[in-house]
Formats: sequence, structure tokens, C-alpha cells
Amino acid sequence: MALGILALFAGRARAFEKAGILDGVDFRFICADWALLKEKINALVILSRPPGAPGGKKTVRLALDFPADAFKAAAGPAGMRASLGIEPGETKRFAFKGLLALDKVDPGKHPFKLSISVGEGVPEVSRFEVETIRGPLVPRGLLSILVPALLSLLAIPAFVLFLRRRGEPGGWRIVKDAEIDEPEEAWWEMEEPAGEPEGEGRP
Amino acid sequence: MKPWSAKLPPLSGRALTGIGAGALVGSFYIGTGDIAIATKMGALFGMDMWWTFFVLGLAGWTLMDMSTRYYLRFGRTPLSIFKEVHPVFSIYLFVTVVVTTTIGAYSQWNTCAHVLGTLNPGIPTEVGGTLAALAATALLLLGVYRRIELFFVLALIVLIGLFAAAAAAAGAPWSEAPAGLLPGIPESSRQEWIGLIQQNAGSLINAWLILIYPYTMIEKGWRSSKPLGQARILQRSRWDYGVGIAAAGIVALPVMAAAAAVARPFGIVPENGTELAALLEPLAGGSARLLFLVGFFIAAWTAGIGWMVCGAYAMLDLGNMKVRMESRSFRQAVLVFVVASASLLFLRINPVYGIRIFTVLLAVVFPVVALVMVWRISRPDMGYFRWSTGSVRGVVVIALDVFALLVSLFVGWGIMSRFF
Repeated sequence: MALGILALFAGRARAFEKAGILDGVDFRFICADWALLKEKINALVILSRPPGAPGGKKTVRLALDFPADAFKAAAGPAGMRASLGIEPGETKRFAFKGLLALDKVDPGKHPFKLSISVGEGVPEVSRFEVETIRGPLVPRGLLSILVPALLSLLAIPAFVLFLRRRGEPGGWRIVKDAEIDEPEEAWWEMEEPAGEPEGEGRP
Repeated sequence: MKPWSAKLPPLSGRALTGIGAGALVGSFYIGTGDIAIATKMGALFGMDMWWTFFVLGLAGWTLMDMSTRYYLRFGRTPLSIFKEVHPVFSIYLFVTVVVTTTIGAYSQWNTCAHVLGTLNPGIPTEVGGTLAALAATALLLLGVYRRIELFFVLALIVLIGLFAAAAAAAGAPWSEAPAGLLPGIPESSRQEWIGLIQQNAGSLINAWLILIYPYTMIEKGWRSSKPLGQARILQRSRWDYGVGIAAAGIVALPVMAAAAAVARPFGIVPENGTELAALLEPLAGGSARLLFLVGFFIAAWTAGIGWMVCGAYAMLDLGNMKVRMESRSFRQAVLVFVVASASLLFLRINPVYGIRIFTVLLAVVFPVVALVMVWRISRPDMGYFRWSTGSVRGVVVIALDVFALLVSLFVGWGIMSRFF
């Protein structure tokens, strides 16, 4: 049943991906291309150079530009620039982390630009869009559990009614033995070990 | 017969492999909370905190054992413990059961919706979650206990396989796993491990859900009036729910491993399992992502079913109704829970963020549950299962009961002192 629901809706993962080579440096960008409002996304970058590649250590500069009215970076705009040194044979992983989709802007598509340059070379620019989708009604923090908890209290009258109609009167405070049907197989009564004393207990 | 004196033969192969209700127990231990916590642990600390699943799981196992001992001794349902102590606990548990079952089930439908949304963002949370809830309801309304139990066994096996395959595809650092079994503080400057332990306790001790096992015994008619028979049933039951709880730790390993492989190198802490799955795709391939998402969906969906089953059983117990999955009362209780839980989907809260806070809040419930249970099972009328220092087994039982109580109090106190 669960697999059926998945099969019904499964599509390809939605994410922006781009791979290439720039001045001997292999690069790969990965960024979710949708975000719930009030939630965060990350943009990932993987850099690598083959062993024995010429040129010694190279400096790679990365920049992520996004619309400031729709997204906010945890580290501020300066956090969306990075410079990494990479040696031959090395693989480096980097992430622009915690881009928060602001809910003051209605859901829509927003342009992003990811740039990579090696040394003083010309940057390679990748443009993509991130779609924002309606997010949670309550802000993060304690409210996100208090609101569901308070709303779930609304189910109490339904269960009080349920207990009054289906339950034993006063059953909530009366201790009673469980009604137990005969088992299909009382395996615990078989193969009594020799010499075990007879026990106490209730019939 | 002296307490804890029966010399029982080892469990037969049939008993060892015949996991039944343990899988149902496993279902609510392996849900959104478990996956979210394992993901965060893996992304922050690799597999250094794997041990917490077993140490905290031991406390959960012991609390479940207490309710089983009480049932075997007296033939009474678990909530009778609370009715016996004082009826005010019935009211407390009634409110707790309604609120936690509704939020617990809602969180799982919400996760199902987010998994579907990851596969196709055009599916609104409300639609995806309601579909998952309706499918779960259909299973419960049409099913009978034995088949549901079998279904959960199969789901558990599939779950472990899916997560393990996804982690293997991601190049998980399996060699680090054995070291993670040794209890210790992770070697990191990050202090999140304290909060993670508390969240994990909320997920593994599971508040009042540790009372559920005796209901499954009532369904199957497992009850003996003789101490030897009771001891045999307890022996087999312990293995059964032990496997169910251990399954949470087993499932956590590939999730932690996957997070350690794909998120940790970036210094990213995925906010949820779907984000981890999104990370898996480019780094481990589309199949790894799909395997992980299907596993996550099944984990959440079966946990949602587990919550509703537990909640409905507890309602029957509170009203002194016959504990039967096939009864009309059980089905009506399930229907009320599904309506209440699915209605909350309109809040659109990030399910994993919500479940983290929820597991913390659960920790406020279990000190009360643990205190009442330890008080009750330490009474001298517990017959063969009474506290006794006359044998090694008796001493171990006391030690474990006290350990479970202390863990419950420690975690509950730790969390409440944060809030107040």
C-alpha cells in the first residue's frame, strides 16, 4: 500500500545540478530547486583535481547570489562568498549553508546565480531558479509543538463521548481483569521440565 | 515457588525466529523521530553515538518488562497499574494518550507527505499526508491482529534492507561502527550531544507506549496462572520486544552511516530525512535516494499505524472494554485518531523539526510513568516476579528497574529544567 502511494507520485528528484571542468579543476554544483517558506536549503559544491595535475595549488573562488528579498543567509551576504585552495589529487566539499526562504514574499520562482573561478580566470556562471512553496503556518520553536498540542486537545470531547458510549460506566477508575480468549496454542504449558515445583497463582 | 528461581530451557529456534509483536513494538520505535535523530547524530558525530540507542533502549526494554510482569502476575491490563495507584492517573493518562497519539500519528503522516513532496513538490502536504493516513486506516479497519503482526515483521525486514542498501551505495564508513558501540562522549567541540541523548531518550523510552506489549499478549491469549508458565511467557516476550527495540538501533546504523558519508563532509546537518535523501542523490546516485526515501516513508507510515494501534488499545483499556483489534470500539477509536491527526496536517510544520521537540516533550511524561510502574512492581504481592535479592537474577531485575527509573528521571528532569 505504502509502495503503491510512492509509485503513484514518484518522479525524479528536483535539484539543480551542474558539473564541469574549469582550468583543470573538476567542479560539481548541487542545490535544491524548491524550498518551503520559512525553511532552509543548502547549495553544495564538490571540487576535485586528478593526482599529478600540473600547476600546484590552485585557488578557487565561489559566489552564490540570490534575491535578498526572498532569501536570507544565516551568515549574511558575505557568507555567500568562499575561497578554497585545492592541491592535485585533492577533493574538497563545500556548502553554502542555511539559506532561509522568507515568508514575507509569496510563493514563486526566484533567480539564483552560482559562480566559480580559478585563480584570476574568467568565472563560469550557472543560473537556476528556486521555487518557494507555502510553508508552515506557525513559526519554528515552541509554538510548533504547542499549537498542535492545543489543537489535539479538541479530540478530548470526542473520546469522552466514545468512553461514555462504548466503555464501562466508571471504567476509568475500576481495576478489572482482562478478558482473555483461549490461545491457539498454549506453548508455555508443554514440555514441563521434571522436578519443577507446582506453582501458586490464580486460576 | 521462590522468585526468579525457575530454570528455563533456552528458547527454541522457533521462538527465536518467531518475532511477532516485537515488530509492532519496533514500528513505533522506528519512526520519524528515530530517523531524524540518527541523521543528526551521523551528520555531527559520525557513528560515535550509536551506543545511545542500546543504553537508552535497555531502559525502554525494562519499562516494557515491568508492564509485562504486572500483566502476567495479575492478568490485568497495563493501565490498571495507574488506576490502582490513584484514579487521577487515569485522567492524566487519558489526556496524555489523546494528545500524544494525535501528534505522534500526525507527525508520521506529515513525514509521509514530505517524502512524497520530495519526489513531487506539486503534491500538497495535506493531500500526501491524508492519503498516507487513509491507507493506514484501511489496513487497520480491514486487518486482523495476526495479519497486522505479520505485516509489521515484513515491514521491519524491508526497512532495514532499504536503509542498509542506501547507506552502502553512499560509501558508508562501516568500519567506524564497532567503536560507536562503546559508550562515551563524542570527540567534538559541539555540545549538541546532550540534547541528542535527551531526544533519543524521548524516542526510545517512548513515554506510555512502553505499556503496549501486554495488549498484544491479550490478543494472542498468552496468559498462565502458574508461575512456571508465566516465567516461560516472560522469557519469550523479553526476546520478542528486545528484538523490536534493538531494531531501532539496527535501523539507526545505516541512517547514521549515510549521514556521516554524505552530509558530514560538507559540515551540513540535514534538517530532515528527505534532505538527507536529496544529498544522497548526487553523491550516491538516484537509486540510493529512492531506497532511502522508500525506507523513510515505510518507517513513518508504520510508525503512524503503531501510534494509532497504541492509542486505540489504551482507550479500550481506559474504558474497561475488551482489548481486541477486530472490535467495533477499536475501529471507532482509530477513526477518531485519524481524523484528529490528519487535521493537523494543515499546519504544514516541518515534520522532523516538530518530532524533535515532540520527543523532548514525551520525556516529560515518562518520569511519571516510570515512577508509578516501579512503585507498583516493587510491591510484595508480585508473586514470582517480586523484587528479591535471593538470587542473581532477582538482583539484576532490581538493578535494571532502578536503572530505567533513574534514566527516566534524569532525562525528564534535564528537559524540564531547560524549559522552566
